[in-house]
Amino acid sequence: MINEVTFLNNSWIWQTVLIGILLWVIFIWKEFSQFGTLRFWTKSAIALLAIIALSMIALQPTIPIKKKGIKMALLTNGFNQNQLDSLKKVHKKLKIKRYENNHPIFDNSSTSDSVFVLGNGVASFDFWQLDSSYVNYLKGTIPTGIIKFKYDKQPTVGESISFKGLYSNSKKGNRLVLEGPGQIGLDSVFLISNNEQEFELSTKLTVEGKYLFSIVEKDTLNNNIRRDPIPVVVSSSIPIKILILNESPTFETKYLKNYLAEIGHEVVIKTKITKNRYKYEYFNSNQKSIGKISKKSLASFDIVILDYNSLKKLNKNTLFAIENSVKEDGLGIFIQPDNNLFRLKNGIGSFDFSTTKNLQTTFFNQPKIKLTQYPYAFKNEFRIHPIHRNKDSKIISAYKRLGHGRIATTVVGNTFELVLNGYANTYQEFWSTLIKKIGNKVPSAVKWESDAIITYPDHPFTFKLRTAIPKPKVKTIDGFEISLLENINLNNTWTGVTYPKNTGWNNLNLSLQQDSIASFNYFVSDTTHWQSLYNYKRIQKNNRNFENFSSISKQAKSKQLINPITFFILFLICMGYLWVEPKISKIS
Amino acid sequence: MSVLPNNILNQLKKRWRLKRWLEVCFYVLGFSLLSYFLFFNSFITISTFVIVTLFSIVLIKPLKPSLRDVVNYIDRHLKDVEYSSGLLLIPEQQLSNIAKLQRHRIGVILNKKHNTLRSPHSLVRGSAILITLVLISLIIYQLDITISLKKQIPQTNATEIVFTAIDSVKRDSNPPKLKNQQITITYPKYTGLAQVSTTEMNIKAVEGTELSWKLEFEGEIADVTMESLENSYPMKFVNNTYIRTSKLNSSGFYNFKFSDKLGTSYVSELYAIEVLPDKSPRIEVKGIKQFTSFSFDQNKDILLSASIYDDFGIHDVYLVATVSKGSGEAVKFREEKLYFDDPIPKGNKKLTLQKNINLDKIKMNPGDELYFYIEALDQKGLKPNVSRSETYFAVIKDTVSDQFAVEGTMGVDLMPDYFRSQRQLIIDTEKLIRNRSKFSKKEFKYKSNELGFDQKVLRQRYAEFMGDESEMGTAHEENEETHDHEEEESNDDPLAQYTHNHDSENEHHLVEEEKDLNQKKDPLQEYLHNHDDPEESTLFTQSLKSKLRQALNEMWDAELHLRLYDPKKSLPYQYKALKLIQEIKNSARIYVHRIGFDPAPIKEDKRLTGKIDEVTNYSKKEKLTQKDEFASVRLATKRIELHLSENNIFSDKDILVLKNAGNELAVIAIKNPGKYLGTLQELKKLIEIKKATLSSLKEIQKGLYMALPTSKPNPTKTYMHTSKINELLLKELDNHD
Repeated sequence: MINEVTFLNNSWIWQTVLIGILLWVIFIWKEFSQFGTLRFWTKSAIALLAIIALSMIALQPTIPIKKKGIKMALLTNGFNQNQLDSLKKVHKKLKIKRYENNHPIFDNSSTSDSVFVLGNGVASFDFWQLDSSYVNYLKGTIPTGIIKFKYDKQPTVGESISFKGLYSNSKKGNRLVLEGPGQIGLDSVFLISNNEQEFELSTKLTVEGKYLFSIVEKDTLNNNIRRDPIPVVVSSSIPIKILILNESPTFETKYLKNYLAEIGHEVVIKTKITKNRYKYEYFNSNQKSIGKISKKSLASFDIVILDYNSLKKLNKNTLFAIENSVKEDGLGIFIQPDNNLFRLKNGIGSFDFSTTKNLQTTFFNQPKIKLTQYPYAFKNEFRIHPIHRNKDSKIISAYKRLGHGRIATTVVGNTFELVLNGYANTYQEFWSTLIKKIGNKVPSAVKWESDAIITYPDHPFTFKLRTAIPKPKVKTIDGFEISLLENINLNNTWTGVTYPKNTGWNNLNLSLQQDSIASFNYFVSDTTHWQSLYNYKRIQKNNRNFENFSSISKQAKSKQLINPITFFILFLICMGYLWVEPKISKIS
Repeated sequence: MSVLPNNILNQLKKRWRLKRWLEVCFYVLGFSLLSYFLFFNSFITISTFVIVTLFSIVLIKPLKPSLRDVVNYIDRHLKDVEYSSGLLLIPEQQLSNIAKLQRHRIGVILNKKHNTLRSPHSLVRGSAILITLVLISLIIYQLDITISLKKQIPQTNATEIVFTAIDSVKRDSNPPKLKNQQITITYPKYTGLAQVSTTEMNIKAVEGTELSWKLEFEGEIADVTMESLENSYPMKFVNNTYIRTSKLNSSGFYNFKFSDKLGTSYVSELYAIEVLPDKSPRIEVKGIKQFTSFSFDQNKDILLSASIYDDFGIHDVYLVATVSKGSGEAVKFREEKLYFDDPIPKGNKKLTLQKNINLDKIKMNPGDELYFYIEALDQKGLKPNVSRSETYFAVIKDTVSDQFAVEGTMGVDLMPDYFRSQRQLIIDTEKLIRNRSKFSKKEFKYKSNELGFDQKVLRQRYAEFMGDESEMGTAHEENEETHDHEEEESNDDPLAQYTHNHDSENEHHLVEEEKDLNQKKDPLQEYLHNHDDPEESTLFTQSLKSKLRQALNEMWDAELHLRLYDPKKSLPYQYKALKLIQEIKNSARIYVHRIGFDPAPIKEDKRLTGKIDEVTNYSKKEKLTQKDEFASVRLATKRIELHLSENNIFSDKDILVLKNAGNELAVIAIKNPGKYLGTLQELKKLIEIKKATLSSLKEIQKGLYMALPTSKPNPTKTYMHTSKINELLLKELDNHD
């Protein structure tokens, strides 16, 4: 019991104790003449009691008390009236309070031992207020609308961007329409089921810049029911520098080079014509010295494409240089296969293959288009990462990592036949994915992350920042600095919170060396948008937060101040005794 | 049950009136329906309804039949009442006793017979008219014959040109107003379309149409120009109106611009001109096959009928025929223009013509070929649209020049000329039969045998093409040494005197060989594609091969009968063989002769020497990146997004970007004006005024985005952030690899 006593003025405890002892010592010294008598001992004890009472008045002790059965229902947005009614039935003295953001939940006087939170829940920044209460979270109904939504926030021009989501309580017949810049309809999907429905909308990006796409729900009469903005920052594409080494001219290389050079990539080709005679081709590129391949000459390329014969004929030094470039600079290698490659057991180009009888394969998503295949298949070992799969989900092209770089190959041969058969788009799709996967990456000093699609004015917007800069300083658009919190386990990872004022595009700036600035764009919109998603997230958060409460089954206790009058009366009695006692003894 | 007579009268009256009302309804309904389907206009329908109702009430008088009329009607139609049903109308008290009696009697009769009374009506006529009108309405609705009243309705304001002041600061308090706008469209004469005047500024017209714009203004104006795709044309001021005339050549956009005396400029919206090209005539030929062949003695008529369609009228139609004579290097062509049998009326949109071509009339001989096609011209000015039909072929079969036609496609004639053709054989055989009496028996037999030999040579020659062993060489040699053999072999053969037995040795050989074959039965035979076997040879298709085999069989028979000195019997076989060969010849035309590949001669002294002195390194530098045709459109889309979210003011640089974007967009918009006209109009306005509402900005952006083509899949470099932890992981992976 005594363990549970705490003092409100905990910080004064030493001073009070010292003064108290001092007072008592003075008192004992004053009465020391009567030492040894009963009177002395009684008086000392009474004086100690008085001093303790006095110091208690100063320290204000509290004792924990069991709350009486006062229960409270906290109503948040989206609460269910039926739940409230049945609660009222069970708990007659139920106190009801409406929740408001950032306002105190309990008045000074009112404390309740258990709180029922109804509806979508309290904001995460108000969780602390309920820390001392036993909370029972009765979640509201799952909101109608999009409750999960995912997309690539920073895509590149020419890419296909897809928006995936989950729609809850969908109404049959309504449509979700993806609208692009200028509210142009790009894609749409019908809502079929009457409960939850996953959907995916996609479009090809044709222009760079920051845009506001939107997802619009339309009813059967084409009226807009709701419109939610989707901010997308489309960055321009960066051309890739490609070196192709061939032991002999092939159609495969001819078609590949035409495709890559026409869309603006730098392509340099070295083809052997005959012994010690080469054909050098430079597309969209200046002449480079590639006669002898070294780490230095490879530094100006992102990807090297070479056929197996070229790989075989590379001397030790060159091979070493290539391997180093891959490991350290992240160079990508693609090996154009031939039958010998599949039997290779070790070295840079070795992958594990098993033989198969198939000489034809297809693409995973286009099972009608046939492709020529070597009679080998990738062994599904954990070292390799698939790039393409066929319709049976077997890997048909894959890469393995080597340091920073990647080495890829495929079991598909003669892909140029796709172009000849009129499937130019499939051909381009194949090579585009492959090259993008293995290509050298541009190192970026900063990486911004944020979970939210949009944020609301005056609401906290949390962002994560990864940078190697020692003490990053992030400023808002108005020039205010945001204090950052470094992750205790992962250094170079920082989090920050800002409260945007204005709607529209906002940005955060991080100044780097040489006056360059890394910016992060985010979109602020009024609170009418993305409500279903916002509410769903809130329900999830509340669920997670209050789930722990019930599992611990913490009996909520509150501390009550012991009324100082008690100590004062005690003090008065003690003082009275000490005042009266000499007089009585004189009389007696 | 008896009913009071007065009630009967009242009932009759009611029924009579009801029927008249019904008739009125029929007419009203019928005419209202008709007017509705004719005009699709509720006002007219309602007025028709009212008018017809009034008229029919006046004419039919549904309220007219009174009790008096009923009584008169009964008197007239029911003899039993003895013309005294009028008594029923008179109160009983006023009647005499007899009258009362009569009245009672009539009452009884009426009670009995009132069911036979039918009030007079013309419901049949009414319903007939209603049905007719409904039918007419339905037909009108089906055929979509609606009399449009738009011509009578005054022009709505929607098409009126709206001018917007560019410089809003110096605006005149009373800006000049457009009083009148008009375009006169004069279609090219040949189209036969009347001149049209309209106030609609978006124009669709046929190529070559003359357009004349007339604008009349209220207030003082400095000048008016018409702007079209970067160019501006001043308009002439004549008789208080501004006029410009132009001939339509290509699709495009235009707008008007004028400035008042204060120097303020006003700009109109953008309007589209769409040129409809005059289509080429369409020709359909019926009644003939692509290839027609005639034999020499057939009636060589080609009857063809052709239907020609054109959107504005056909000017001329004729046949272009080419006759080719001879073959090889001696071929000669003769081209001729043939007209159809009927004269061609000019300017018709549809023509059906017939032509009979007689090959004899155009002086064609056997072996000649005729190629012809139909050419049709429309009436379009100096450069008419011409279209031509497919080419048709007609041939008169030439049976005399009986070359083996498989060779027909080759430049060199490979057939030796020392053996007689089947045709020649027939002629000779016929000659032999004719001159039989002139020859001695031995001579006749000898000649017949000779022909048999020739028949054999011919057969073998053809058999070679089937893959049979060639016996030509031996046969030829034997031919030269005929007489020696004859003497040697004459001993055994009673016929030896009359025959040349060239075959015996050979046949002997053949039998022997066959025996050999039988002995060595090849186990692989079933699995092989045996080219040696004539039956299996793949020189010709199956049908061709069987025909040739048939021809060879016929030749066998022909030879047999010739050798039996019976040329008469042999003739039918020869004819059959000839016919078959002719057929083969015709079908073989489409085959290309199998020719071997002749490689260029190899210089042996240079071969495999491994000298590569003349081979040098080769270097090529090229820029293959294609220019982005929509660079400004992309930039403009991006800029507008910024304006949408941040509301910047349009700078001069922005305006330049927008102008360029407009030009880029116009290129596609010309092909598809309906889709992009709105965007171009808004864009033009934005460029001139440098201001736009949010909705119009969105409209422009939408149009621009729509115009952008989907780009090819394009791999791109991605950004990657490396952190210490990643590095550490990679290092660890590397160490443990």
